[in-house]
Amino acid sequence: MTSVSASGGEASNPDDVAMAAAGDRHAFERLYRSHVDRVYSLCTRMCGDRVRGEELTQDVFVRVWEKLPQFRRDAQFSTWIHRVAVNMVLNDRKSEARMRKRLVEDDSESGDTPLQRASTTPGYGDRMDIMTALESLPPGARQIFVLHDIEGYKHEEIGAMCGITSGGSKAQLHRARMLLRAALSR
Amino acid sequence: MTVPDIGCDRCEAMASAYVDGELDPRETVELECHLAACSACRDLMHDIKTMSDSARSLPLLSPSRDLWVGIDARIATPVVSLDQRPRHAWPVRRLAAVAAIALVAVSSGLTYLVTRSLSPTTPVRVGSIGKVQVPEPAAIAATGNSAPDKPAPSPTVGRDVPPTPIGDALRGALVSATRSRGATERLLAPEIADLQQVLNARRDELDPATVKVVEDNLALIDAAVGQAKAALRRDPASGFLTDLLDGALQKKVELLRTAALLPSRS
Repeated sequence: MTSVSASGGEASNPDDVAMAAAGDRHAFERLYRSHVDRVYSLCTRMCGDRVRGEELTQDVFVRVWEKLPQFRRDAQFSTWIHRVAVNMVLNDRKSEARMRKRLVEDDSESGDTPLQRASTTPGYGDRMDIMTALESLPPGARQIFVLHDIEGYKHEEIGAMCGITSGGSKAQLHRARMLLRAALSR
Repeated sequence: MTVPDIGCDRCEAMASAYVDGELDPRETVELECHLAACSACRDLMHDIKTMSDSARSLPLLSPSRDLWVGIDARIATPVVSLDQRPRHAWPVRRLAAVAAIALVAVSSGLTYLVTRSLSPTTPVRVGSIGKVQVPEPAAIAATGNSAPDKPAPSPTVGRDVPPTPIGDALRGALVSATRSRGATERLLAPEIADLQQVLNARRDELDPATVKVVEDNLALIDAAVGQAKAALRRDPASGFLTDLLDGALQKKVELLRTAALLPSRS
């Protein structure tokens, strides 16, 4: 039995979680369908690229499958899978940063798929402008803004996930908001 | 008492904290006094609050295609990590896993011969118990790798454990034995008892939620077995009820085999 959670996605059927943990791929597919949009939205908005967002989404669900037998039911499954997704994106950014120290990228060949094309509703007015402006943010500021203003994490949680202080998270958020405001005013 | 004017620079620096309700009462009063006199800073507060509210209500995005096919292909491929550590004495957990695999291999061979001799049709489905999936034995051997930074091997794959060939003499004895009523139960009882022992011994290693699912299903099977036996006492000649009972016992063996091979939680 599923219900719609406050986040807009479907809540997980506890039986599906147990069956998937025991190796039932059909049950895991049902969990995938319940959570894919929320995971994809998080990954895409944090990394700023639709294609990379799809790759990260696949990586998240493969990791969830591997770790599902270790999932303890003292937390909501949706909270747990969300945390896996955040960690996946943050680790991906660290790997990317290490690679960029060795490679010089030509922006014209980056192949990035702009975030605004990830919108599902064309001509969405203010919301479309925010998503476009989000892409222009530096990666660190964009991630903090996504985690705080879109996903609802607190600064203490963001600090723990990103390896910074809550004060640092607040400063990054303020910087992100000021940059977004400037971008939206243009 | 007059409140000192904090100025636009300080007001801007405090803007996010003010919108998020993180200022202390004194700072809030000072900032609001400034806002009362400064339209530019009032506009700033309004913009930040509007952006934050809009961000919170952004719609979910959907991938451009169904990603499940790629995910399913990746989780269906068993990953066996190489144990880099020098092999000294086998740990007790690994010995228990090997013993469980050996027991399952023998019992699956016996079960295969029993089902083949009893009926050529597919096993009878009892109650609401569905088909269980059997993990790759390689995944069990790989659970000894406890490196925290490495992804755990895929725990399960949907495959049946292949039967083990047994000598013609034993096969003949099994075939003749199973033709009498109650023979399946007598034949499978030792395997069920052994597998139950394995499950009990591994109970602390397994995820509690998984153990509960297994035990709930075992209870269902036992109830079905009890009902079939009660019906057979009233109608001992019923081949249908005999098949029903045999099918339930075979399901019990399959479930216990699956549970015996489940990967340990790390």
